[in-house]
Amino acid sequence: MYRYDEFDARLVRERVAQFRGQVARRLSGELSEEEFKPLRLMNGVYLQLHAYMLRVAVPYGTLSSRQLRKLAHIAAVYDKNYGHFTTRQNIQFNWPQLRDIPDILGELSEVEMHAIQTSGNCIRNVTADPFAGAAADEIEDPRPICELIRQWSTFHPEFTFLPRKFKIAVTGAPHDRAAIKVHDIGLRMHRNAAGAPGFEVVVGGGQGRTPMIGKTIRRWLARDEILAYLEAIMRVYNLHGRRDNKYKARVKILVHEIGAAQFAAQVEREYENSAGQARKALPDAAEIQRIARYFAPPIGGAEADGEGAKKLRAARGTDGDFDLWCRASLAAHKIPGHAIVTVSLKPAGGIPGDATAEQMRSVAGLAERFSHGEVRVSHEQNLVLPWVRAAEVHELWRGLRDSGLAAANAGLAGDIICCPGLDYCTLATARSIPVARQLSLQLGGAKRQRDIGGLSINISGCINACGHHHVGNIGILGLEKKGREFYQITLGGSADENAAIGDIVGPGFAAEEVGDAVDLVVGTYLKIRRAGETFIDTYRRVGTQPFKEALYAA
Amino acid sequence: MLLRGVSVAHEDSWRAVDDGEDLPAGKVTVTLRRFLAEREQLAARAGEVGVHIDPGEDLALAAGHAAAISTAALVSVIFPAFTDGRGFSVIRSLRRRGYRGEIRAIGKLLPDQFDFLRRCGADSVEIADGDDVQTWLREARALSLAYQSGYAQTTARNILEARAQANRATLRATAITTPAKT
Ligand code: SF4
Repeated sequence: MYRYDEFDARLVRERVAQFRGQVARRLSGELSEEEFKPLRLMNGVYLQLHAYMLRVAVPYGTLSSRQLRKLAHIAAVYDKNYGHFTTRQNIQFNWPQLRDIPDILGELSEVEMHAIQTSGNCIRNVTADPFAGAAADEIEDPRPICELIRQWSTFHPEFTFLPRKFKIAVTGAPHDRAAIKVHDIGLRMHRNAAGAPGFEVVVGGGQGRTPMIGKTIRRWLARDEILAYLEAIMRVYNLHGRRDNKYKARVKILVHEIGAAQFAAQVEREYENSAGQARKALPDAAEIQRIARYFAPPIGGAEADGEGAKKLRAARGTDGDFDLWCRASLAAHKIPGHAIVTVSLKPAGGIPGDATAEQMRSVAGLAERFSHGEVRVSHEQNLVLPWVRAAEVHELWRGLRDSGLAAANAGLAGDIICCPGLDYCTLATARSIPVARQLSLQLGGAKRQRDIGGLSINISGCINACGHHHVGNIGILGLEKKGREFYQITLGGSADENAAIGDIVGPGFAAEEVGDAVDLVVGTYLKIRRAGETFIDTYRRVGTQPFKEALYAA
Repeated sequence: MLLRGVSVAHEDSWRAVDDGEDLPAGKVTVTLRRFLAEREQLAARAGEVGVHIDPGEDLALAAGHAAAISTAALVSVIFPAFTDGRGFSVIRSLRRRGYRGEIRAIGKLLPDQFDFLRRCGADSVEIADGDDVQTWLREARALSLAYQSGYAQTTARNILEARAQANRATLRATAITTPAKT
C-alpha cells in the first residue's frame, strides 16, 4: 500500500487546518450557509435531510487495517456507530456534528486519510478494480497509476472548478471490475502489438439522467504519458464543457454533442501542442518507481506443494454452508495457493454497504490475521480481503460468521447495490433502502441464489443513479408522482467490459409490488434459460419481450 | 482592490473602455473584438493597450489569435462566477503559448482560488470591494505544497522537487556517515 511521505502528510494537515478555520467562520456566523457551501463541498461535507454528511475518500478502494480501525472509531465516537460504503469505494458518515468535522479530519490525517475532493465539481477520488494487484487475470496492478492520478488531481490549480464533477476509473485486467465504461474517463490496461502495457482511454461514459457508455478516444496510450494526456482531456472539457445547464454539464454530453471523433481530435491537438512541455512535467522514473514499490504484493511467493488448496477443498467437501459461501466469495488469485475473498456487506434484510463499528473492527482484525492487514472496498459496496492463503480461508470464514459477515451472496441476487435514497438524501424522489431490505428477504437463501446464478440488482432513489441502476442486470429506480413513490424497472444493464444500459420494461410498480415484480423476472429467466446461461446471457438472447409478458400479463 | 503577487498593489492606471467609446489617453483595456478590429490604430499605443478575454464569448476567437494577443501589455481574464473555471485554462493556455505580459484575473473569485490563479499564470487579481484582503492573503499561503509540475512557482513548493531534494539530502547524509570502503 502507498504510504504518505512527509510532504503528502503535511499537505493533508494544512488542509485540515484550513477547513478548521472555515468551519469556525461558519459557526461564528462570519460565513452564511450560502457562503460556506462551496467551501464545505470541496471537503466532502454535504447537508443531508437530517444532518451533515461527511464522505471520506478511500483512494482506489484500498484500506489498511489501521485505517479501517480509525473509521470504526469515527463511527463509534462521532456518528451512530456505523458507516456506509458507497458505490464509489468511499465511506460516508451520516450523522456527524459540523463542529466535530475538523476533529474527524484531524483523526483521519493521522492514518493518511482525508475527504479532499469527495464532492464538488472537481476530479473526484479515482476508483479501481477492487482485486487490483491480486487478480489472476490482471496484466499489471493499476494502483501505482491511480496513486499518480490521485496526487496529480489533488488541488489541481486548473481543474478544480470544472463544469461538473469528474470521475476516473482504472482497471489493469481484461475483465472490468471497475465499471470503467460508465465513468467520465475509464482507463483499461492492455498490451500493444509490441507487448508493452498501456491504456485504452474511454471518455464520456456516465449514468444519471442521461446514461451513456463511454467512447474510446485512444486505443493505446503509453503509461508514462498518462498524466499529460489526462491534462489535455481535462483542458478541452474545462474550456468547452457546457456550463449553462447543470444537467448537460458532464463530459459525456460534450462528447455526445460534438461526437467522439471530434472530441478525440481536440484532445489530440491539445496534447500535441503540449506534449513537449507536459511530458517533461511528468514525474521522473525514480518517482514512479518510488510509488510502484509500495504496491508490491505483500506475500512472498506461490505455495508450491498445493497443500493449502488441498486443505481448502477438503473443508468445502465437508461443510456445505462454507462451500456455498466459497462459491460466491472466492476469486482466482495471481499467486497460486491464495484467494481473493469478498466480504459481503449485504446480509438478508440489512442495509447494503452499511457496516457497524464492531464489524469494521472485526474485518480489520481478520485482515491483519489473514490478509496482510489490507482491505479493499468494491463498487458493489462490499469489502475484499486480497491476500488470503487458501489454507486459512476456512478459519477466516468462521471469523466472519461470528461477526455476521458471512452472507454467501457476493455477485448473486442478494448482493444488492443501493444508494441512500430518501432516508438520507435531499435529492431523492423515493426510498431505496427499505426496498432493498425487503427484496433481499424475498430473494431466498443462499441455495436458491446459487441456483439463480450471477445477477446484479441495483437500486437508486432518484434519476442521479448513485445506485447505478442503469447498469444493473435488474435496475430499480425510485420515482415520485403525485406524492406517491413508484419504481421503474430496467433489464439488461451491465457494468463490466460488455457495459450496457438497461432497457425500461414498462410502467413502474408501487413499493410493495417491487419484490413480486423481481420474482416474476427471475422466475421467467429460470424458465427460459439454457444450460450455462446467466441472467444477462439469457436476456441478451431473448430481449425484453418474455419479461414484459410476465410482468404485465393482464 | 488589486493584489499583485501576494500583496496589495497600488491601484494602477488601466482603464476598461467599452466598445464604441472613445479611447482616452493612458493605459486602456478593450474587448477582444475591438482589440482585433482596431489592431492597427492600437499599435501606436504600444505598451498601453490591454485586452479583456471573456471565456463565455471569446474562446474560439482567442485561440485563433494568439499572436495578436501576445502583443497586448495586459490580458484581463474575466470570471463571470467563481464556479466558472474556464478562466484557469485560458490563463494557462496563454502562458503555454508564450504570452509574457501581465495577466490579471477579474470578476467573481474566492480567496481560496488565489494560489490556483497564480499557479496557472496570473500576475494580479482584482478583488471585490467588500472582500477582506487579509483572508485573501492568508488563503494564498494556506497550502505550502503542490503536486503539479509545469505550473508557475508560487509560495506553494512543488512536492516532486521537494521529494527529490530530500532524497539527495538523505543520500548525502548516508555518504557522510558511511565511510567509503577501500
Ligand atoms: S441516486 Fe438520488 S437519492 Fe440516491 S444517493 Fe444519489 S442523489 Fe440521492
